[in-house]
Amino acid sequence: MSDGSDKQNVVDVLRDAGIIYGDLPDEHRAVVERLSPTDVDLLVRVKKELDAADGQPGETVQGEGMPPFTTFMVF
Amino acid sequence: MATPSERLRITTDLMSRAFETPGRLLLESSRARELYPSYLAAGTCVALEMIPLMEAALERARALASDDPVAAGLAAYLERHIPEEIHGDEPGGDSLEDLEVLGVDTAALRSRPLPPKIAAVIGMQYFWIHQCHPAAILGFLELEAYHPHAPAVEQLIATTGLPRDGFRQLLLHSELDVEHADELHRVLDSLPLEPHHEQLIASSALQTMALMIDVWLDVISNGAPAASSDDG
Repeated sequence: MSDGSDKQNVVDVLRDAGIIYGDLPDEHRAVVERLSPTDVDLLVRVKKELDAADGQPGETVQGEGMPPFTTFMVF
Repeated sequence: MATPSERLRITTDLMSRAFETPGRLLLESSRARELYPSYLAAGTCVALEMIPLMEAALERARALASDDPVAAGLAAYLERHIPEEIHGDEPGGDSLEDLEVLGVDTAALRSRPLPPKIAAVIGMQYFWIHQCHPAAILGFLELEAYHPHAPAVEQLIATTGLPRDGFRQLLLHSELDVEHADELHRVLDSLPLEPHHEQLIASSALQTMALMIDVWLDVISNGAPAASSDDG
């Protein structure tokens, strides 16, 4: 992530993976551009795995009738 | 200019829809009643290890505190937060009671080695605490910002038809973790974090979320890792 073209690529990679979409506010873009390559790879890998598990490639779509927050953690 | 907590939230929100997917798959599953005890057991395994993990971070932070203001601030926060997370006569004990209501053999669950992916969640934190900086624990704790929400828990209770007492800790965390997340964010914004601290905390949060997604997907796929009372 040493030059501007690499930084642009991070946003494009995440957009291509369906992790970000629509306009990205400047504040968010600045954060995304600082992600490490490891973290970017992780985000893309997890998204692909979830798409496969969900049987639904592309943007994650909220299921009909589902509540908006479905994390069930006790920690 | 975003604050450190806002930057962390922007980063973890990139994973948030993925992080909610296993729970959604659980709610949608025709096997939700069968899977829920294992799903809860996975989280309970983490909850049982959480206090020793925070104590390790506290010990390391105290050791560094004399010439490390981030460690000093972290130690003060952990001294306040650890008692808030005990939840029972022993750390995580209340979650075990919920599991027992659901027919899980909690003695068997505790006597077995941690499932490898849960061990990876915990072990990764110990590595970062000791080899990098104890502030890594703040990324792990950021998951509290993605706490359960009561309407979703109520839907899960209705979907599974399981006893409400098997959901007490989920309902409790739907309230408590709102405050815990707010306090964590205040701490993040008060510490004199350098970019390398923020990077570590962000990686810690993302890696923890990714591993927990894997753990929960395993439950959805295989029913691991609960030990049911007829599990032998």
